[in-house]
Amino acid sequence: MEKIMDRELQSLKKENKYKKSLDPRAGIIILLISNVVVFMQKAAMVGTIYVIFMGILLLVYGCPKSCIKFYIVLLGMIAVQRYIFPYAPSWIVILFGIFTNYGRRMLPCLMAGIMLIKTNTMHRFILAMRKMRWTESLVIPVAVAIRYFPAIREEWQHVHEAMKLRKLSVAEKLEGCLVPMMLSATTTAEELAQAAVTRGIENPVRKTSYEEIKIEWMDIVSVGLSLMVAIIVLVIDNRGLL
Amino acid sequence: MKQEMKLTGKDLINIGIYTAILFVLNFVAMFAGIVPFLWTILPGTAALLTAIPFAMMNLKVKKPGAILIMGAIVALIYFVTGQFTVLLLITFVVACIASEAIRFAFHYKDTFVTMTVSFIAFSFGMIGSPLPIWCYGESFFTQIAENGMTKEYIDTLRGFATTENLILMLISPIIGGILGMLIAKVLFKKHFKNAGVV
Amino acid sequence: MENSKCIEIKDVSFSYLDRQILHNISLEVRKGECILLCGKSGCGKTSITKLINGLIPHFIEGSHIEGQVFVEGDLIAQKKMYMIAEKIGSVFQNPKSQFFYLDSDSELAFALENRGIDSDSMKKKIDETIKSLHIEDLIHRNVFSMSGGEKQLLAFASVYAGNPDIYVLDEPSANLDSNAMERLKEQIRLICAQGKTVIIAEHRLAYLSELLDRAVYIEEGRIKRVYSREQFMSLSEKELALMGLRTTKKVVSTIKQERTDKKQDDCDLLVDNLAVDRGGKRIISNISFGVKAGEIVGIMGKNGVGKSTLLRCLCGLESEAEGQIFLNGKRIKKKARQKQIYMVMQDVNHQLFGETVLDECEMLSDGENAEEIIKVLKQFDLLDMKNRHPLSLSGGAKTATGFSRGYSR
Repeated sequence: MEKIMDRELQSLKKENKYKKSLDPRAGIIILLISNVVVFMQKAAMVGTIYVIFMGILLLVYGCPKSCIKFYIVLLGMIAVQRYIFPYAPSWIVILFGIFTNYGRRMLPCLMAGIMLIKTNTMHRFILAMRKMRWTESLVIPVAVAIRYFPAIREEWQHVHEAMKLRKLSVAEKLEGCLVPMMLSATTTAEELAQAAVTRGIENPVRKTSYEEIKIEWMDIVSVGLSLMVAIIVLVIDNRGLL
Repeated sequence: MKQEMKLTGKDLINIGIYTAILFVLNFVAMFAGIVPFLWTILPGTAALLTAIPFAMMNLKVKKPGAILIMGAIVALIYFVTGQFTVLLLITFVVACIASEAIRFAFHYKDTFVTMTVSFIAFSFGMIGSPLPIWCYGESFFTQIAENGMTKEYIDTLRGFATTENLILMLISPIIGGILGMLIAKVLFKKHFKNAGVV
Repeated sequence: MENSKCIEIKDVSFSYLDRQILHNISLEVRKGECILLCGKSGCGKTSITKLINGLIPHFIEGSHIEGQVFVEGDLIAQKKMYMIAEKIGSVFQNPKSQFFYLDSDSELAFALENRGIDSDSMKKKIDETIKSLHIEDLIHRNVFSMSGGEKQLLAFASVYAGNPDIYVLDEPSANLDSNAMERLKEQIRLICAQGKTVIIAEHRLAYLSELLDRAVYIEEGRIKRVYSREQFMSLSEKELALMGLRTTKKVVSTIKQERTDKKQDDCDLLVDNLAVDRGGKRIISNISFGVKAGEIVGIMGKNGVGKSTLLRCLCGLESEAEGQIFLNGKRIKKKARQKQIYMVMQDVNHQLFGETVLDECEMLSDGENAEEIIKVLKQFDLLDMKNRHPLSLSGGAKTATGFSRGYSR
């Protein structure tokens, strides 16, 4: 299992080589712009234009796979809305209608989010937060929360397997899920805090970093382009030109 | 502020971990909201699910700021995934501040009752998600119709746009909060106390 | 000699949540010494390491401590944690919960970043660490894809990068395979050679035998005896066993392939030409063996070779891609195996659901009477703890509970 994961990582590393890094701060601004587009848009068509633009941005930043995936999802959703819903029974429409609709609306934000995550390590995020002078009281919990998400997944798999080895009722199952998850969270919190405290996380000096992040021309251009496309798209939308 | 009331590295790490769990469970409740009825009582379902990590964090970190940080992180992650509306953001922030203020008023000496009250306040943060159904009235439905939402879905939602349902939505965090806290209490007594966790 | 006294523990008693853990501990450690703390699980050796690295009293809440601990003349109780952190580096037992970042490079820099060191000298120190510890294979990696052993080596390296004077290691080998342990041993050898003071609480003794200067034997929170290296090494296996310790000698295992081509029908559990796939890849193939009731079989091999996959398949967590498994002559399929074969997992925490140890065993044994369970608990030395919550036990006792649970089934 580990071997497989490592191989995946190797290929990921190779992929990373061609990946340009988006400055986390620039990424957050693009995300903000995408959020605004999502909230302000009226016609779905407008969102589609913005999604196409974000796809191109993803390509530029060296994530062709994500770009293709998002395009396929977009096409799929449009196809479902146009060609399947008119003929499907109403419960399907109710249940999946909201799904495709929200999905389509959320695509710009998701894409901006993915771009941000794929071109950055957690370390760069923390560095960016520190550069923006956020207080350590917020930086540390954010970092820990991000670090703990993959652990929750791992934990979930273990608990799930342990439960397979015994007969349990539904209530017991829920209990058997929540209790070990919470208990292991408690021990992890305790042990992680021990490790962090004995490595000086409480040191009040300004924390430094082994790598640097700098806002480059490319970041500025990307933000500028996103802003431009967003404005054009929203103007078209408001005037009802489409 | 007194030295012992300042958040230590250990506190911050505790907050981070329980926030991660709280977020996951909150997201489950959000996701279940694709069923229209569950969306109208989202504050309640979210409260029911997130009571345990909330209580756990409260027991571990009895200091000012813990709930505010927790709320800030949840808001931040939802923002990154593009799930937040302005209305939700407002209710969420107000609820977090209220919840923190309640804890402050009781000098962070949590009992079951005070914790439940502050948790209910915290849970009210989610009312911003379904609130548009009632608050914006017909214009909300026209808007989502324009967004391409299907007619069937809108009709189902419109069916919930009654005063009864609004009241149900508004008391759902109270019911969900109390129920969630009761479950948490039972589990704590049964497992966590004996395991030497709290 | 006064000057070379590096750590001084003066008559310390410690209790946690009204349970007395340490009684009147006094210990002096000279600069450059390598000290082993040993004893049964739950004897208090971990608590002694925490006295030194300051976690007691700074970190552990609900504790009560008497006596004093000095490190290089400073009273630990009066120093801030981050000041202690610059002098004392600590590696803990669980590799999973020691890393803060998700990638190994950032992790190596963690301690240095916290101190506010400028990036150039930080890079230099990290490069030095990588070179002297030979961990080129660990850099640029996602920590979640690393094995337990690799994570632990990384944890050690990130402490090493901070260049502390004193190392406190709390059961660092608990989750390591022999290969990783060999590497850890080399790392410890290196810091010993650099004249660092090293305190290790450990179960596995063999790998430390060449390194330690003194061994401190602890029983029920008291220092029973302090051995010199020679005295400690000359303890016989019998004496060690009486003290509840493992061997100090390297075990060279020889396996005789006795029953490879034995007749199949006299085996109770039979695996026939088994192959298992995971994630689209064949992990193990062509596995055939038979086991008789009452036999104990050890499955050995390097990390990642498929040991756990085989066990997981045996107890029904994986389905067989090829081949079959028979129990008492009848073929049993995945679902049935989950019911009839039990596994104690590596991280037993996930498997303990009950309120007390007794409850834990009762949950699995349908219809068996209470006396039977008491008997099982007695066999596993758990009877005294039958009313405690399974997860409040020490690691060893937890595993035993896991066992007895499987056993009472």
